[in-house]
Amino acid sequence: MKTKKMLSLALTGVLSMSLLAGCGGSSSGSAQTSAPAPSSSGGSDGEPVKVAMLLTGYINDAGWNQSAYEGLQMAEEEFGIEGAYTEAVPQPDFETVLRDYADQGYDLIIAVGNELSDATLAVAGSFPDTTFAIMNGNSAQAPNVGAYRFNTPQSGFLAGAIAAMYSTDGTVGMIGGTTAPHIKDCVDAFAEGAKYIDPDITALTGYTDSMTDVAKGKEMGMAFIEQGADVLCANANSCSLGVIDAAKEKGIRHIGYISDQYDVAPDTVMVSVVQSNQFMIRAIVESVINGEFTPELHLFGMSEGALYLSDYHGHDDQLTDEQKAKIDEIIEGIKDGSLREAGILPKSTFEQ
Amino acid sequence: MLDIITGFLEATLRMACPIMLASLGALFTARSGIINFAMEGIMITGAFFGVYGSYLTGSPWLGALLGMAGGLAASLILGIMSITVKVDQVVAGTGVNVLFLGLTSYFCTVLYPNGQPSSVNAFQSVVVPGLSSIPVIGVFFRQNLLTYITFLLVPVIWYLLNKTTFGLCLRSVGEQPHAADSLGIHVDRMRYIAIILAGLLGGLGGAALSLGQVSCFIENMTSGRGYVAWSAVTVGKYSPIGIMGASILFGGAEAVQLRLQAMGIEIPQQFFQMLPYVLTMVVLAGVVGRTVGPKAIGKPFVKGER
Repeated sequence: MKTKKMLSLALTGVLSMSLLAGCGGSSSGSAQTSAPAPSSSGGSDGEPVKVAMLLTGYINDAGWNQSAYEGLQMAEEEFGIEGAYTEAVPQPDFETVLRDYADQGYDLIIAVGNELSDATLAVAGSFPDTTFAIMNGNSAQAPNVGAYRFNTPQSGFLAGAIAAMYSTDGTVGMIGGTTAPHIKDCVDAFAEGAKYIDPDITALTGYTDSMTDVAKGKEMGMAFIEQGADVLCANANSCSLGVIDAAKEKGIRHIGYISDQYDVAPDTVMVSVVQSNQFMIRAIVESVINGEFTPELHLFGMSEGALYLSDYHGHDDQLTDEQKAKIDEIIEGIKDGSLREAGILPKSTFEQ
Repeated sequence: MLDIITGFLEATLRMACPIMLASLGALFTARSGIINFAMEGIMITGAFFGVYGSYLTGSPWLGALLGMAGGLAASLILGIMSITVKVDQVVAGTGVNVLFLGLTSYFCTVLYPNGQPSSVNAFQSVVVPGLSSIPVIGVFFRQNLLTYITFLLVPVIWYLLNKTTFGLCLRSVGEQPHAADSLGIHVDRMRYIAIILAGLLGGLGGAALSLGQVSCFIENMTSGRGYVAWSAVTVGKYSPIGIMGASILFGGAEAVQLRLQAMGIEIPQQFFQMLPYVLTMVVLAGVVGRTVGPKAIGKPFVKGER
């Protein structure tokens, strides 16, 4: 009986450890300050602008957090700011870490992720001289908190237009992971973009209701292909890999999304519309340095460089010169706002 | 029209296979009196090690074997917790799920130092000459071997449970463990055998997902299929044939809803996404009716205690 008790204690221990690990953060989030880059531009008073970054994950996660960190490095090199970051901040420490940086006199503190919103809004009032930026945030607060999001109708519209150009049978499809507003915006704009190129095109749209169920993504891709789609696109994190797998298996084309997905299936992925955290962070830092900061919800898109078209990796030989010119024209139209003014490019849900 | 039916049947088979394998595994534990809430954890472990095994050896078969071993490890934890330590089986099962969901993500970073490969060698479909060219019905003859094995397992397990001494012992342990014990059946040993079979089949179910349906592992890729597998046991009235029907129902409902979305019918897609659940409830209420589980399910066996 005693051994059983010991065993039960040990197993309980293992399970509770796993629960803690599941909460996704070590209690000792490592704080590191990277060496200040040689100051070239600097702040208004000659001192380099100090920018701190809070991340809830690790900077080598090959995804969201890593690209944000690379954005900080990019800004360090380009603007000569002094950067610092704390990775894998556990939730109970959000406010403490934010306060620490503000106390140390950082000019701009970037909270990478909507989950940091509440803590940032709670802290910001005590530090009126510090600017706070929330990535993917929904709420800004006067006078010193700004929220930043990608202008996803722009990327969806461009992906739809390009998909329509690659289509030979007149049916394209876009698969979203969830119906979160920024994803739905992109999916709806995809259909608009495809129709802009070919008014008679059939643009299929659907949602997997999962960002991780790669098998369901593949099945949905298969269902779209059965309905005649010959170009697909997907905005559903890992689930997108299933859609690409379906396209590859059935020998149709795919437009990458969020990152350059060429390496996933070189013969299938024609080109990708990239949402870049790097350029997003760079743009945030730039706007603060230039004194253009305003405490509102900012939608960054192509003109800020946060959204852009990847390299074609040679697949542009399947487009005519006319089509390539049209793509450039659309990108220009998105950048200068003319497509938006003409009512062709849909409005983002977050636009006020 | 024929194309649409063929595509639908094919998708149904693909989606039903992993659920059916895991559900057949869970059936053993259910009939022996253990609530197998750990199937999600068992499947995700099978899915991970299936891909890892295929990555190491290049063979999906060896991968599936490693996946089964992984599923076995996850299942044994449930076994120790619920048979030897006698804790609440639902809590133990949920613990296993959380543990292995985290562990597989961790293994992903540790076992692939250079990043995970985007695809590994997976099961290819085996085309039966002649039969596979029959319109519509032909889809049943161009599946991967794992699917054939899954459907073959249904009569095998039915025979094992209903026509052999082993099956009788296993069922008696789930119904009347004290009576079984008084007749000299080792209750705990029978339950461990059930746990082992559940681990092997659940692990294979996970591998059927990661190596049969796709060719890669993604964190949390089972997305609740383990729970669906457990409910297939109930909907299938604790019989292998019922489980086959329930798994095909779940797979088919999902295949229908994905196709309805793809057809671009002007109804909010939430209604389509609801369909599998609504269908399940309708079938449960209208066709299946009352299901009576094994009498001793969920109750740890303590010798001599009443």
